[in-house]
Amino acid sequence: MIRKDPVLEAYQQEISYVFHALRWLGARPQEIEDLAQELFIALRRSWPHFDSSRPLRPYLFGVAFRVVSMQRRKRKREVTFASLEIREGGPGPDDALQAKQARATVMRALERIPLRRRAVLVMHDLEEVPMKQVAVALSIPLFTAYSRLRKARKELEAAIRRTGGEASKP
Amino acid sequence: MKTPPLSPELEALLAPHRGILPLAPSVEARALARAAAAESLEAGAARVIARPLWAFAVAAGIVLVAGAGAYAARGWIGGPPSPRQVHVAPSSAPRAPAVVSDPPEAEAPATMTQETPRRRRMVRKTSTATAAPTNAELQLLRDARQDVTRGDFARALAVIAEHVRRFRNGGLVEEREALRVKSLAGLGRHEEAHRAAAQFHARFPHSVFLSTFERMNEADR
Repeated sequence: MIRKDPVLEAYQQEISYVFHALRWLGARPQEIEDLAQELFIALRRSWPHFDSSRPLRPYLFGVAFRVVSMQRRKRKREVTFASLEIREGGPGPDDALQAKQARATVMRALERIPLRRRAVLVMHDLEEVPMKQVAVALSIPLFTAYSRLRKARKELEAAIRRTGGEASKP
Repeated sequence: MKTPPLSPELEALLAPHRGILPLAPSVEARALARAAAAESLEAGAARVIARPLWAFAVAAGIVLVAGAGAYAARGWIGGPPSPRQVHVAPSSAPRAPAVVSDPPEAEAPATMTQETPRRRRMVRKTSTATAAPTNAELQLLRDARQDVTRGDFARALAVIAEHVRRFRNGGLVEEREALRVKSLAGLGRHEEAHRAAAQFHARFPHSVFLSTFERMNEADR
């Protein structure tokens, strides 16, 4: 039986969103559950600073961004481990639905955008969070958020063109 | 400041992905169990850390005072130098003939003064590379092992994550990573277990745990 405390309750309510945010931020599928747990721990620690009059999702996204950034820094340090990663062989899952393919295309394109800018783009253009809240959640000045968004959009367009070109090659 | 609108191509591309996909019930249950486990673990760790803090401060104070006292006493008392001290720092004072006529020790100072700092540096380096496990680290891994034995693999993974956070390069990394492989396999996350086992094999090629993994593999088949 899970004990009811406000952080756990909030986490329980938004668990799908947490996984969704981590995925958009480029977390590897095999890491997502570990990262979600780290996010919960971080959320629990930062909960006293959370202003409950504000929406929870942008705040959660900010925490997810920090957790993923930290994970990436760790991964960079662990060069030997990164190079050890085993490629998952064999064909992918059978559900070759078009929607899933399109999602994969967007995901691949997003992977080409540096995390800082991708976070702004995902938050604003996918989550439809107002820019002021984006800036607050990511602890950056509003002007910086706008400039990152502009650059990220350009990069996304370029990446889509590139991935489209690569996909059309025989 | 106003946000510039998205280009039609980007809008068309991103629009279908604005919804949130619901999680599979098993994944959701696992994630919540891990969160609950992490919560209880955090609370436990906070209690453990809070209690001995004052005791540690008092003990550190006593050790510092005793050390400073001993050092000061050594300087004040001085006392008759031992034969070895006489050779390391020769003085102009007349010495006892037995000590002066000891040739092997008389040659020692020159080599000792050159080698000692290097040796000290080497000792310090090795001590950081292989950190000795602390009680807290042992306790944490004991918890993880008990969880694995009980079959509570989700909690074991939570404990392992906590160990990574607190003792990244601790003295029991090998045991921790072995428990991770077992926990992942126990949860039925076979792909991740295989991946973790491969990483383990590369990192600890002579580990005694490798045979356990092989047995697990055979049992899977």
